[in-house]
Amino acid sequence: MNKINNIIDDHFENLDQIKFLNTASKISKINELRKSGMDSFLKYGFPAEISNSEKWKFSNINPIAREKFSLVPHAPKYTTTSFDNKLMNHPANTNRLVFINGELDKNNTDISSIIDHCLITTFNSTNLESNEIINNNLGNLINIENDIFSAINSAFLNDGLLIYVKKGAQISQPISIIFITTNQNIKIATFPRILVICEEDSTSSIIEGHISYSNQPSLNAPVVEIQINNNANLNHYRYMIDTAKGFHIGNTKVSLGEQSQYNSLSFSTGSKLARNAVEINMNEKYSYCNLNGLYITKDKNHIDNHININHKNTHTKSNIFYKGILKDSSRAVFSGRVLVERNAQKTQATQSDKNLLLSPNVRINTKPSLEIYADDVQCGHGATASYFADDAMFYMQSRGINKKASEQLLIKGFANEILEQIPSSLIRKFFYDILIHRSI
Amino acid sequence: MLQIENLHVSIGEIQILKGINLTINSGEIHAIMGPNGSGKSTLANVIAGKPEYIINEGTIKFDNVLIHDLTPDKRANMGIFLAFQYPVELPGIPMKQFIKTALDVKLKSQNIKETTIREFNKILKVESENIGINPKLIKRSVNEGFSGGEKKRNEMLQMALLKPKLSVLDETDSGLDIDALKTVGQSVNKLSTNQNATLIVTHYQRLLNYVKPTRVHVLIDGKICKSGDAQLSKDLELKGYNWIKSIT
Repeated sequence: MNKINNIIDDHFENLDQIKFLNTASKISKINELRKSGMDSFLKYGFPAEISNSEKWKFSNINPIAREKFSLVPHAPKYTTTSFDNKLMNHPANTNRLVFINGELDKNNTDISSIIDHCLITTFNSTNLESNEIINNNLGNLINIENDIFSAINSAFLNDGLLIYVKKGAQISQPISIIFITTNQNIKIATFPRILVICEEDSTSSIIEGHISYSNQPSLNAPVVEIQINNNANLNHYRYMIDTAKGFHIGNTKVSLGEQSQYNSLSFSTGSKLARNAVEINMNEKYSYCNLNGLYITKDKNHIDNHININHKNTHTKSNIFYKGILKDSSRAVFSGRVLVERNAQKTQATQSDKNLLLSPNVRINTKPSLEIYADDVQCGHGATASYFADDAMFYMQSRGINKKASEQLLIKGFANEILEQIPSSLIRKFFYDILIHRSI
Repeated sequence: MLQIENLHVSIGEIQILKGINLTINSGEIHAIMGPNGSGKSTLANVIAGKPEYIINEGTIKFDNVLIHDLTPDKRANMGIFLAFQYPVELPGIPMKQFIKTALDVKLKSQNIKETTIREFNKILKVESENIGINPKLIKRSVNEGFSGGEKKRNEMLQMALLKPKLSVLDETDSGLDIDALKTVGQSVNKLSTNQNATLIVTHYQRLLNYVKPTRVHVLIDGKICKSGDAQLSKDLELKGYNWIKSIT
């Protein structure tokens, strides 16, 4: 801990109680990443000028820098809430790993039925084979120097998760990972880390969930690295249900092989400040990605979706389709940047962001952009924001439907277009259930 | 059924209705005619409970209950239906779901069991055919991309399914071709019994060729200045609103 200096003390406390920070991992890559992450954090801290950068233009991270967070020394004995139970008993989550404040909760974890098709292990319980996979792949897709939250996540890297889908495996049941932040009398920081490798010709689905119950300010900064090899197909569903004081900075990095497919759906609600950053590198030809998202904000929530897609090879295809519903004085940011490199001919790319504004006090900054250096491409983008007119409310009410039900019908109707993109009826139903649970 | 006494209504600072008296009994069809800006649509909307209208004076009673403070959905569940002059588009809400929700709410308020999806589909099919709604429209979002005529037919479909006690038609006939106009007339006649009532708000006499009103009222500058039987609407058509102004 002798490396902890003032910068660390400004932002974290109780670190001397955190055992893993003093213990070298048996995986050398983890030790390297911890060191480079910490070095980078010590070098830059939360740079004040970050707020002026293009990347953080509409989302101010100073409130995060002003808090002092704690890592939870020991996983508390956790009593699941009724919502947790609903989640865990949902057939979409039969194969699940549950993390409480960053540590695996073995009691609620069950992956026995899919273990033949993939290798799933936390970083603290690896064997020789998984050690090697982690050593070869962890950290390959992130840029610690350029991203403060990837740096901190790496600095505090502990019980991450490896999901290695074997060559040719066809896993129909989703693998569900649920990260729960509990309500403690400290300001909890968690840094979940997932490494997903989809080997050639495999098909699999992952549901990544983040739920917070913290009444204190909390920080959850997950990093998910996904490598999809040739002809492999991954469906990645993500939900984030945060509290009014929660900070959530998620980083998802995806690398796509030839003829591989990445389909994602992201649902976010709540949070004082949330950013879901997604970066897709379409490295090989005929790779395809389809990103759908839904964000629902109320009160003083702030949700920022920050997407970068890099088309680096020919015949690659990407779709981005996000929708937002904003209420009260909440705020949302959508930034979608699609880059088509010079040699990425025959690229097809579309992006669209549509917003429904339920109050005159909401604010949406939506910025889809295209940067094209190839000359034979088909690209399109668009964004809309429209008020839910009083006329629509009166029309629905005049048919006997009360205000709350009208609003919910409308929200469901608006959200439908996103959720109906989910090919699996089981998972589609799961997301409808969450949506109804969280309906504003 | 509907009793309006000395009703004064404004939007913001502007006084629109200036003392309306109107009584509609079960089994009656009333027509309100009047030139542009006379307050016809305001009257229709204020009965249904549109929020931005302010009642400054007077009363509206429905089935002997004062309805001023009731939200539009409560009024609808009492049996008031407004066919909109400009039906609103509801993107993302499928027609079927919208109409079934409305019907279920209505049945529930009357303590009647909800219809099953199968029963509902059957009724919906029959009524859509009666009203001449393209079955493809039923699969779309409410009013989204509908033509003017299709929107009005959709209002008639909802009216037919919800079977209100009091139907208020706010210029449902405007912008309709002859066939659609006929459909609106038929819808009103078909629904009309001695248990319910209809209030037709219109510029023109032509819808009244298909629906015979019990009473016709002429609304000018926020006041009913003349009432009469069906003959009044015909006289108006011939002589124009200036004739009324000159004799009152």
